[in-house]
Amino acid sequence: MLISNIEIIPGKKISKHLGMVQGNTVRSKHVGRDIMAGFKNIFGGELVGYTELLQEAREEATQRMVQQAQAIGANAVINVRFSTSSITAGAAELFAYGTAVVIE
Amino acid sequence: MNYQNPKIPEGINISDEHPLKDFAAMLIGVGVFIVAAFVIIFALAEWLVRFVPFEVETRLAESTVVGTLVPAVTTASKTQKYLTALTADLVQQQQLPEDISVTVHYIEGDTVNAYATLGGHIIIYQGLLEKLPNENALAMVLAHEIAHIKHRDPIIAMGRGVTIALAMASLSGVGENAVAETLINQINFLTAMAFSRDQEKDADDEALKTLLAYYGHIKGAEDLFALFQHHQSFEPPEFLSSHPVNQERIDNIRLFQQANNYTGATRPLPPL
Repeated sequence: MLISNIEIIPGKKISKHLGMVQGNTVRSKHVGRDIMAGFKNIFGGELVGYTELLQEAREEATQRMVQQAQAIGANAVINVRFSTSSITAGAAELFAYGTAVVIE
Repeated sequence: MNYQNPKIPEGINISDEHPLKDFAAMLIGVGVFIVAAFVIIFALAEWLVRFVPFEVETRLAESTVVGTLVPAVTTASKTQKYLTALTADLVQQQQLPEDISVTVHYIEGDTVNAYATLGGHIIIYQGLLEKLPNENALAMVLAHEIAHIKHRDPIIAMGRGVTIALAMASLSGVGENAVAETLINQINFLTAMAFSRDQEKDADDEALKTLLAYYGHIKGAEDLFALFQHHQSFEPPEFLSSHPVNQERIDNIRLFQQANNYTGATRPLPPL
């Protein structure tokens, strides 16, 4: 599965356009990480737990988007975009979307 | 370019796992966490309470148990004097730390009981004293209760009780002032709480050593439990009762007797 955030793949011809596919997830870290992040707020620095949270959420969202693409017979997703939003305190939504295509 | 818009199958972004399964897993997780937290707090409280100075315990006893469980005025009767003297002898044998003082209180009444409570107070009822066949059995009772005081068992039991009360209060979400109030109201109940079976067994062992040191033998110690066995028509199974079952305690005494094979005669109780 080819995933790209450009609209055309150089040197490849898109033979089929299958519409939009999307993957999303809302995740949180465990309470221990939240407490650690609370402490980190006092001293400053990277909130490693939340960086990890977003990393995991991105992977999950991408994987779900790819699953959708596979389900409709695509072999590439182009023009992929990510978006994120905060749902509740300590939880984040990651949303990945793109266009499912078949390339030759 | 061929353009299609096929339907994407459901359930990729939303898993079809039953939410109750998730809920059950989380409930178990939280349950395990709470239990573990209580066990740790419990053990800590029990361990820390040993470091409370006896002086503090005495003051605590004055404001709580003295007057309710312990009569404020002790009658200077012959029996009381005899008990005080015997207790003093046994205390000497047990080599209590200097700061710990033991006071025995004789209470008239039919109750067949004796117990140790906060502040080094031992309460012994007329009902029990009348049933005892000899002084050695009485010494076993007193030495057992003195051992509880030596091991700081009453304050450990109180620490345990306070922890349970606090845990209950925090679980039921009572306000801060209410917690303090409830604790004060319940302190009599908390201090009267039973000691654990291990504490009882340790006190028995210590009492036997005391008897051996005082009389040169442990004859008569067994009589006490034989008496209990005789008078209790129904004995609750051990797991339901904080005291080790009487037969087990008798066996324990016999083992001790075998290991320390001294013989002697029991001393009769003076006319009381």
